Amino acid sequence: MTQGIIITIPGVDAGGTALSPTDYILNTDYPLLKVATEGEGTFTLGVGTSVGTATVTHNLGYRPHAWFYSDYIQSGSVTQYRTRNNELNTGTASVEIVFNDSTGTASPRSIGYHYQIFYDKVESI
Amino acid sequence: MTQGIRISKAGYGVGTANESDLIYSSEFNSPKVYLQGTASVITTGTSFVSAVTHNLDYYPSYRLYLEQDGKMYGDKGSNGTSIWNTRVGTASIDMQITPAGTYSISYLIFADPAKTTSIPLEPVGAIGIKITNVGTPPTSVDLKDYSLHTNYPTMNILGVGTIVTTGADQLGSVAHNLNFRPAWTGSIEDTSFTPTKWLDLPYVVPFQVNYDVYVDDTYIYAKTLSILGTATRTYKVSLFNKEI
Repeated sequence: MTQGIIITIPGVDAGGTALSPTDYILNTDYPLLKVATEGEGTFTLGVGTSVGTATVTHNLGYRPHAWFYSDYIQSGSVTQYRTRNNELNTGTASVEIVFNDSTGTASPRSIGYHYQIFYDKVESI
Repeated sequence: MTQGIRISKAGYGVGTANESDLIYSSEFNSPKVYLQGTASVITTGTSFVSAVTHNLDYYPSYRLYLEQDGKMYGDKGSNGTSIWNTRVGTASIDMQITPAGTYSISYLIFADPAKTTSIPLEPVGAIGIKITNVGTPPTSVDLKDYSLHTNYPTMNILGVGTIVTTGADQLGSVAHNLNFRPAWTGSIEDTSFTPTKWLDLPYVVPFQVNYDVYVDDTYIYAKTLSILGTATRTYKVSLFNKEI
């Protein structure tokens, strides 16, 4: 960096000569992830249905980073989870999020979800 | 923006840059790292075990990586190993890893929630900086209202790489030369779908066990396992300034 701003993590001298990228809270060479939008919704799954799909419009014109979590319901208690049953398909105008637990149940279910969509592109910095 | 702080990338006018061309802006929140570390997880392969305690009293967002042979995978490793299921509670993160065994994981737990909720603000240190989001007074006691708070490291994007695979089990890589294993995310452009899908990494279902992506001190690698055929897959991987 020839000109710019750096803020280091506590305990690290910002004037040090051998700083690592891990030492920075802010370094104007490296963009921060910036939240464009976040929100919540509910998948409504009918009897025997295991897949819920939602589309979130962002209209950014490029493919953004996005994170997605869905509810996990077990023995009546709710936690947040992701991995096994989630899919996130990122488009230039919207993000499709899919819940699929492969096990339709005898009763209708409501599965909550939360998403964050960032201004930062997945295809380039 | 009427008042606030904005930093654009070199070559972009700070008043005219698109949001994606900003390094930082107090208009937008940014994920803030609350806990970072490694843990040894002993699993039966079928039951959840508590892997990381955070005690935040709300559901935080997070990223997890599985170590195998010195490399850091997403939620799957090699040879069928995977973090099969993960759940985050208000006090801990639990997971199932298959097959049964002892594993090393690396985690990033963010102060930012995986559900909309208020977050008690931790006082800034003796020396530090906190910047609220535009429109929020600096007296706010909700951490969500802060775009920057020097008690919490941020996720800075160090670079984005492209890896293309076209053959069965073909391994591609991109050098990053950071001399540490950086946290990573990304997307797979998978042309085997019509229309083509851009699947979020490392959480791609239903085919997650057939995409191999992992990072070491020098490279990030991607391999599409042969069961998925030879359609072109383009991996776009972003590297962050967090050692995992």
